[in-house]
Amino acid sequence: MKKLVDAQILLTAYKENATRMDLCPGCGDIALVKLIPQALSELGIEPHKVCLVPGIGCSGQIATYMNGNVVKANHGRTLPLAFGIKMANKHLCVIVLGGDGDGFAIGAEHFINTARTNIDLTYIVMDNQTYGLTKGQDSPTAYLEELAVAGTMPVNPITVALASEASFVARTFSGYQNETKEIIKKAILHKGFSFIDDFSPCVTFNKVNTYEWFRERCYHIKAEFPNYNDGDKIAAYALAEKRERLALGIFFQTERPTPADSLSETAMVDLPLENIDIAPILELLK
Amino acid sequence: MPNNRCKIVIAGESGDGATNTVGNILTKILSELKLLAYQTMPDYLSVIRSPDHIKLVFCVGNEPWISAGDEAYDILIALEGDSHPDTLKKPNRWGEKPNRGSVTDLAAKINNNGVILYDSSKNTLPNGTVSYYDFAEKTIKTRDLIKDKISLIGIPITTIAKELGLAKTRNMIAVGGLIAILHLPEALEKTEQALQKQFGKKKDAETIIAKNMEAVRKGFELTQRAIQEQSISTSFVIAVSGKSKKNKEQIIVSGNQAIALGAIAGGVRLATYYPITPATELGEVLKKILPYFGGRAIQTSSEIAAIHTAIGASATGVRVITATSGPGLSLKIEGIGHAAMMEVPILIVVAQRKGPDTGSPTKTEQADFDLIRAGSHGDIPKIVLAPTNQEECFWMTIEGLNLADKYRCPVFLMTDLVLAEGKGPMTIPDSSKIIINRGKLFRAADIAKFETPFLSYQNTPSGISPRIVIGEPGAIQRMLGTTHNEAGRITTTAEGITEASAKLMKKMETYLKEDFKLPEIYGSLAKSFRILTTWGTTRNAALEAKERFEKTFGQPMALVHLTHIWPLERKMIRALYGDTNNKDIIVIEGNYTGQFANVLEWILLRKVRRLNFCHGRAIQPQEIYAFISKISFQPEEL
Repeated sequence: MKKLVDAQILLTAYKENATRMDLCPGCGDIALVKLIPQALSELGIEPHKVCLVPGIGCSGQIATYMNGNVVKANHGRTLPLAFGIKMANKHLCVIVLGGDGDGFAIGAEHFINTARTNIDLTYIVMDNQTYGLTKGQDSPTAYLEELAVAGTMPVNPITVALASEASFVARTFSGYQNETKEIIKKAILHKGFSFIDDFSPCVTFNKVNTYEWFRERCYHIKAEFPNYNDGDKIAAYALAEKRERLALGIFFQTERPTPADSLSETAMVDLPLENIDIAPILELLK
Repeated sequence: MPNNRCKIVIAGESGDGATNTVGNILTKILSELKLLAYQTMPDYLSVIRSPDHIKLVFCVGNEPWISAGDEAYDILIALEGDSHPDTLKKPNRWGEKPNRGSVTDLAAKINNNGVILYDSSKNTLPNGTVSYYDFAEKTIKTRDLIKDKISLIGIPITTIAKELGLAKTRNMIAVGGLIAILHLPEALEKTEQALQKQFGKKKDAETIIAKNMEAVRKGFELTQRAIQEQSISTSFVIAVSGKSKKNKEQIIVSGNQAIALGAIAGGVRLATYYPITPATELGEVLKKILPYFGGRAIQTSSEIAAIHTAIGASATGVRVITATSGPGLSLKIEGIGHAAMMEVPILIVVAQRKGPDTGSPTKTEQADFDLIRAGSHGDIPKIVLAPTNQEECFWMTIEGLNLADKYRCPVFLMTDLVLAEGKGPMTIPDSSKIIINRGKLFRAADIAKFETPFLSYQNTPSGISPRIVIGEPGAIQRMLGTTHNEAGRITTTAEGITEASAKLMKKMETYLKEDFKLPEIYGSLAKSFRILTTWGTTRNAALEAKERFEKTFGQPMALVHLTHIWPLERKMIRALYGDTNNKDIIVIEGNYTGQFANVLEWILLRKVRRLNFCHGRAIQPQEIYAFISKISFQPEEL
């Protein structure tokens, strides 16, 4: 039986320091400040077992308002940092929080190379199609008319994740909170690299991709295609390529080994350090 | 007269196995015989096969060497022997005619009483003409063999290898020849063992080992016969029986291997690396041995990923190490600032190579001091250590790990290509002397006993805050690189930011008080007029040059050698040098700009003389001696 943890414990930091939240009212990221602790709470994962790895940008701020271990990364470097954390202690629930600029521009190399290792992380990208913290520059996921004319197209995070061999690929929308929470829970439970592209509208700097814009275009895969097989990668690609209407839900999931599988159950920090006999190593070096 | 040490050069063509294979086999054989062997920097190129020749320099003896000495050898094994005149004419891939010194040129660098072993095979071309490179004839042109008492031994190496049916055994025939020249028949017994270790994992290992062994024997017999026939009285009788007891407890390792051993003994359980010459070996060795201890060495997708993966692991409480060279260091700088600001301990090994940029990847230099000292934006605490030999590599790795944990900051271990890839003896460490100090790392259970609640960045008089192992109930760790307060929350007030900066840098004041080690001093600073100053691998050549100088001129000379090269306790160092008004201070470095000399001038508040080398080779005693024996003290010159 899983112990139900009071979601409020996870939110204490927010409550105690909530004199002012440094996010704009209505920001899509605020939904996750609530939903991630709720999801963890419903799964019975206690704050000390959680390690949040936020990146840089508005999305990187949300860990400030949650209660759990935090190791904040440099811009774009969330995934290698989280990889190290998970390898060192495979019992931690590692949740990586980043933005679209963080993940698909400056951190794109790490996204591809971490996804393919299938390290057991949950990577949530708050995709607002803009750089909010620096006040509205073009982000890699933004569809911009003037750029499209010149041939530059936005990154499609779902197809990149599929092509990078991520073993759990989903898309959510901060406007649909219940569905988002359920997917976050599934992503956390998934053994392997789970990726969620969360449409998280920027109410201040993105006047195109607004809540209404997403509500008009988004639909739930399960509602529209009850027989959708999330083990079929080709179907997932096909669905992700449709840009007029945007599918939400789990595009693809599969099970395969993860790098931490071969590690002993003991966290690396608990391995014995004293009185190490190096004689056998000398034999190896000879 | 028997000589207790000699220096051997083995030269051949890239792909001949003149450096790697012969180096490995010889190291194994000689260390089995408990002889002291130093394999200095192999002179190779950044291509897998090249028309230029490569060479391996090996020092053998039963007493320690100060340094690998000058570019002068006692024994030359001309493996390729330039017997393929075609390769001499063949342009390289850039269309240039190879401007290599031919192997024959090395004959000019053979000491008097030396021995040259060369390949005397003759090739019969399809049209019936006999083509061969007359090594002996060419050598005679460069040296007066009789006057210089140089013995020339020709063995048809290529022909024998062809007879054995394995052309690759040429290098082993040369090994056999070398064993005969060194009068080390005992070595033959050890050779099979060494071959087993070298080739044991190959397909058809048995046949390969048998053929190689036969090649060694053949080389040995033919050389021995030639020595008797020509009645060569080689002076290189290295008395194996004369081995001291001390040598028994020694192994021959490269700097990289010594650091890997230090890392294991020092408690590292996670290592990260991205392949880069000359640091790759460290990652590879750790990848092989860390799993035996429950750890892992991870080859990441980039240098940037390597440092951030290490930071992540370290944040949870495990000891980490990452290794790189100059170009990788440039990429890692971002992560180094991050580790310093988040106060995550990390040991970064920098095996320097010749820069800037890609530079000369297979050549050495000491030019990364400035980048390590001043790299990263903002003021950050860091500690830089520089070992000199393999032994120091081992112990300084452990010291560096302890310092990183104690001060929660990046610690650098600066080696260079000569030390990282070169091999030398290391005493088998006494495990009772290995001390692991994890600083203020606490378990959550200990935190419960604290009087005040746990704060991730608690302000203490020393600047060092306690930290916890992530994942245990009772405490939460908040680490971030944004300017933060004690609780690990972002601060933006003037007071908060000032306090955060002061807290970070206060740790270095504590380090200077508690753990900074003063330089090693050789000779008397008070009595000497000339004071040499070195750091890193330059010390040994400088010591040899100092000895030569003292012998020739009868004047004392002092040497100050730094191991803890940053940060520096200015007052203590100034006091150590004493009154330098009438002294000539010469800073010897393997870089162009005198990176350490600049710092020393700032510390001593006076000008120093600079002796810089940027030829990419190990600095030789002769080069230093040539400089110090000529200069006269002219303060206005400085």
